[in-house]
Amino acid sequence: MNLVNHALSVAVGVILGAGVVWWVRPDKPAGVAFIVVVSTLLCFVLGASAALLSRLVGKSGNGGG
Amino acid sequence: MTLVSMTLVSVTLARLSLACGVVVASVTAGFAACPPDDLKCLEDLLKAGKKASSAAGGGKTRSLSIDRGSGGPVPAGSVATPPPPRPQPGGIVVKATAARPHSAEADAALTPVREYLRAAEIPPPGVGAYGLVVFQSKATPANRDKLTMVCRSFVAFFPRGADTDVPIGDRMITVWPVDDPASPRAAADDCDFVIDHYELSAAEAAIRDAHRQQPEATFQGEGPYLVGWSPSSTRGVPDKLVLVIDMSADNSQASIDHKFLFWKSQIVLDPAKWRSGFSLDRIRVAIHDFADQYGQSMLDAIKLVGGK
Repeated sequence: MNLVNHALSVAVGVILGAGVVWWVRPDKPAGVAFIVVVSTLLCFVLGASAALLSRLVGKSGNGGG
Repeated sequence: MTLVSMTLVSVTLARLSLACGVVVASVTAGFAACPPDDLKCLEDLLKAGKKASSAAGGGKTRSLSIDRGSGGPVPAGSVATPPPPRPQPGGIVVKATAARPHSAEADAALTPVREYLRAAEIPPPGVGAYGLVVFQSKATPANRDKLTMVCRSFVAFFPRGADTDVPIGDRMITVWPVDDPASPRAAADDCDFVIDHYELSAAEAAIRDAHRQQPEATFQGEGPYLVGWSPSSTRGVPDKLVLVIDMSADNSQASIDHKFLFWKSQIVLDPAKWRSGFSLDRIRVAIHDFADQYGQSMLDAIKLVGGK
């Protein structure tokens, strides 16, 4: 399940990166790659953080109950 | 997951997304270079894209294909011809409460031209609208290269006022203040001359008047700036439009050209597009310039960390 979540966030990041590239229209190929990389990494980190938070919230909920 | 494994995953992820980015970049650039119906060109491009992605990070690209049906090539999310460069704003403006006067002459788009004028001759009488190239200082060894780039853009983007027969009321004059505009070297667009003979008093007056109309325009950057008023009578009048384009962060000829292109195509042709405050376009320009400037360094760093 973890792997699926990570893969999903990476996919979202790539798609988002492509969208940002379409909007920004960098002049250089390095700029395109930069945007895609940053977008992918950002989505991966956000996805991992969200998964971690949901696990922590779930644990504290079980512990409190 | 341990910290080490997280780091390894991140690097691998970066290389993979780098591969995707390289493919996107190469395909986007290449489709722009290939004629729409040239399947051979597109197939060669895809092969080159796969090679580029292998060199970047060994990723496999299997998402692109060419449809050999009667409809011709179907590139994945690409365009066949490159879009024209979009003008990019970079400055701050005052939101006007008064609109440009509506007359037959005012409804016609202003013709952008350039002039070298003395400070005392600014503004040119009867002109429709005008702007100034504003320096914070005269040329020093530190800023001379940048001022030269600004001069080159100024000469390249606008025709001379003397070369056009458009009535002066229909002109948008971008002024470069010099103390000797009649000099043959100025007429020859000698950038060294017009930079050395730049009249700082005109720039100081423009900064003062723009700041009076728009107190948020602090002019704290190193500049140069493009400052303009449309119509020309609105200079110094509170609540009237003033446009300030800040080129402090622009240190390449390309980015300075972008600012002049925006000044010319958007501002001159439609002063109603002078916007204030938050602007999505400014964000886009900022991301564009950052990605172009630091993209290559970032890619080199990823390759360095990830190894060959």
